[in-house]
Amino acid sequence: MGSGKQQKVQSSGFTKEEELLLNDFSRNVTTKSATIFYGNAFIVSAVPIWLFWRIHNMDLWPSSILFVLVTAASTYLMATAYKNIKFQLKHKIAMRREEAVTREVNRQLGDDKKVTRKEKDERILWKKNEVADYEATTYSIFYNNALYLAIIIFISFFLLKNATPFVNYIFSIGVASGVLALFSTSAQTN
Amino acid sequence: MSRQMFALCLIAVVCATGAYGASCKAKLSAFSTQDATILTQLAHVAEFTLECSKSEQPTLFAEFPCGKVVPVAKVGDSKYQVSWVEDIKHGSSGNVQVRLFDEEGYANVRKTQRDGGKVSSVKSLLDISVPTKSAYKGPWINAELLAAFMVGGVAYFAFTTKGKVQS
Repeated sequence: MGSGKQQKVQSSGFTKEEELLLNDFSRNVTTKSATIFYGNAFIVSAVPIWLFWRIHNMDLWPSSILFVLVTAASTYLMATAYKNIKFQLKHKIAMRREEAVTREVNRQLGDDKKVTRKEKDERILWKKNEVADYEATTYSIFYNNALYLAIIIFISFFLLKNATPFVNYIFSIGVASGVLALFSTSAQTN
Repeated sequence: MSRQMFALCLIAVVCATGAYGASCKAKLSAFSTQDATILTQLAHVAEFTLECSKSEQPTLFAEFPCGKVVPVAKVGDSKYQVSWVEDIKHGSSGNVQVRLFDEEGYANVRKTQRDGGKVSSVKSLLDISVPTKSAYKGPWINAELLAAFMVGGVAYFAFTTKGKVQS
């Protein structure tokens, strides 16, 4: 098993350390992260259905096709926004946590003579990547959800309060998820 | 002789006008609109039973503090009802002094109004104090406004935290 992994690493042309570093800067998300992102995006996109059904008095069954289509589009856009914001934050978080992670790993390994210096560095890198990934994932979800719901409430209750619920739903959900997906792609200035 | 007749008539008039005022009592119950969330005006209804020393049941007129005089509805044996409405914006709670006039008193009121005098100077048959309550006009702050402020606060926190992480 271990040799297979080594072979895979060798076949890609990178060492394990380089793979970890590349992973740190990679835009790709793991299947687990993708599942979390799409699950969360679906939930937060479906929540406004209740708002428009119960508060804005939209009929649930006659509008069900619209609800499904808009929720699906919103889920995709929100998942994209999660992914982009995570990418923006992950490396910054990794740099901020580096010192603490190094200290923690050194304390854990302590006087273990069997662990080589290289192995220790790899473990620090792996741990740092894991911590940064977790924090960036959760923060990205929190950030996008907070902004998404704030935009929806502002648009649906204040900007489009006199519009029909049909128009109100399409525009508030579309604008909220669209704006978040769009701005998540913006390049970092600093 | 004519002086004696005049004195007798004067005594009779004084006794007649004071007949109700001196001995009439009112037993009162009042109702005010309680929920004004979907209304534009508040209604106040006062129902009272008039108990006079004489068994007469006079036709009554009510004068409100604003100076408006309206007829009082007779809803039963010695039972009267007076009601009025007011705009929600001007609605207030507390006791409202309503002055009641019989037909003679109402004639005096009309006469005073015609002469441009003060209606308050006309002696009323009976004054009743109607307790009014303020109505529920909805929550102090709209639910959507509260939700907007709360979620806005959370979004602001998220936005500033992102800035801090990226700095």
